[in-house]
Amino acid sequence: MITELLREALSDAAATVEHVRPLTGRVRRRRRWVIPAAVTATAVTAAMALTVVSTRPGDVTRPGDVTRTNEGALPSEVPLPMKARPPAHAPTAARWTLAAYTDAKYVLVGAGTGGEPVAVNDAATGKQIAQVPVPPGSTGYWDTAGAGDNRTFFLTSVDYKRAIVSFYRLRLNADGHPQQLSELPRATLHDGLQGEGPQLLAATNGGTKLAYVTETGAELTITHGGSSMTDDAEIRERIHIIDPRTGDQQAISLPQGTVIDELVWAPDGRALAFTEETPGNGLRTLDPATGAIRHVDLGGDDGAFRAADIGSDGDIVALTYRADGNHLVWYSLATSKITRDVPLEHSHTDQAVGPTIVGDAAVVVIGNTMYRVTGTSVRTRHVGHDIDLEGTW
Amino acid sequence: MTFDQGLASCGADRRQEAADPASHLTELFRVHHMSLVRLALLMLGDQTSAEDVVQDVYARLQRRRRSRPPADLAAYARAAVLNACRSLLRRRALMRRFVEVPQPVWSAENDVLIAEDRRRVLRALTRLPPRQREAIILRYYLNLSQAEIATSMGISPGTVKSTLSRGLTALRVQYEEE
Repeated sequence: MITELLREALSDAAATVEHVRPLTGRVRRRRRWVIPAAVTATAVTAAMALTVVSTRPGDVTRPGDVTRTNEGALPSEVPLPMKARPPAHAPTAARWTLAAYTDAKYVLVGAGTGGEPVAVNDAATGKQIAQVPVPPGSTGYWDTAGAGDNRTFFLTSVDYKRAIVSFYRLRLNADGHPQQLSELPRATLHDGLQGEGPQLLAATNGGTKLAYVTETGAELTITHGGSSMTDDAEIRERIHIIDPRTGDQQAISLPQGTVIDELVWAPDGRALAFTEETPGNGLRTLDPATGAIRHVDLGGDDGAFRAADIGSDGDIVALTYRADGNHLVWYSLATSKITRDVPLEHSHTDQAVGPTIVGDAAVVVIGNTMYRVTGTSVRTRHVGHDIDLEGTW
Repeated sequence: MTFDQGLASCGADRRQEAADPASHLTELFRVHHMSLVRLALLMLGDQTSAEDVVQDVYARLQRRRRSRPPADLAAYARAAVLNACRSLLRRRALMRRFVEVPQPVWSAENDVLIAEDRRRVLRALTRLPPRQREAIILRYYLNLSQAEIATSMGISPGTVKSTLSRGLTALRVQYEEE
């Protein structure tokens, strides 16, 4: 009987799964289809035809809906009573972290699943130093961003029923223990829930500006016992630029159906870079002074773009995939030109974390290999599975 | 505890669910992570894609929490993963000319311990339309009733019956041709 054979076959196939990767609330490892560049243009033509004109290389768009608000009547900062908890678990064996390689001393982990405290870990060993308790009545921490000094962090919590996003600032002592946790009431957002994807919150150096993505129209619906999530085309996202001290807010509406993530500020706050996930796919920048959004032409197909960071000189470093392998590309925001293009080894995996700028170098992990690029010099290091790639620093 | 027994027990405590349905649902994903990955693997063929699908569904659920609880958590979890598998299969069909789809665990090139006759039936199964494949997996792997399959697939019990019947007929044909 084929049904008996079928049962045995399905059981055997399912049994090949013996171990699974742990679930995480956010996706730091980017997994994209690796498409040979020569055919990518054909493959994405249909999708790009639906993309708004503004996503063509060099084009600039000025979104029609840029709103500014100020919650001036509220206090700018409300210190919360906080007694940092001791480590929840006995110290584990030392685990090497990517944060340590980027010269960070502390790394914040645990945000993104909600309801649980965030932990401050030693970046060098991965050992937990303290836990930052969840503010009373909140749903826990969902997003984190560092202010560039490895001591100041911003966090969010979300009230789903009332569609409110609250912001907090955490300061660490020199020994990594929490010094102060404050709510920033003037930064509170009331017009939608958080967006989707990793790195929806970004802070400038010094924490003078925050950027955050909210969305409306993304519903999870249950019908006749089944379920569905809204098509991306129904989603309306906004980028909020917030001054956490004054409460000044600016909201830039994106075209309907545009979904973005991986926000990163230029350290001086003059530009915000982000990844457009749909309907196009590629790197974009926002000028917060004008609300103009610009496509960043990295010299390849949009579908080959993976992730980017911005250095203190205002140059973007982006990881792209081309037919001959991965490349780190330096792009000048001032001149809108590629200033450096460094090929990396050909990789059989499309899993990558980074790039992250560290001093005059850029660091990226692809598969089990870490690349540190200084100038055009590439140093590699096999990192295996012992490295902890998660967290904010 | 089987997949369904486990999921059923998770869905049984309505008081807890009412208190925080979204966290209950995500806890269900955590507890039954491997079961959901196995289900996705049978649809997709390879473990990496299966893990990605379950991870993506979980991450999106985290981002789209709502206060309205699903009526049936077990069906909800299955349906969410199956929906995501269907989407990935559609994308694969579209991109097959341009990308190399991962080798399924039952491919001749893959070094896993599955007897050849079982590999044949699994290869035949992948040649079926996704809906037929889905119905067969739910019936013969998870041992779901027609009503439960209907709930998971969002179709009527009558359609389940005809889909299963056509699927098994097509499977026999494909198996003989393998």
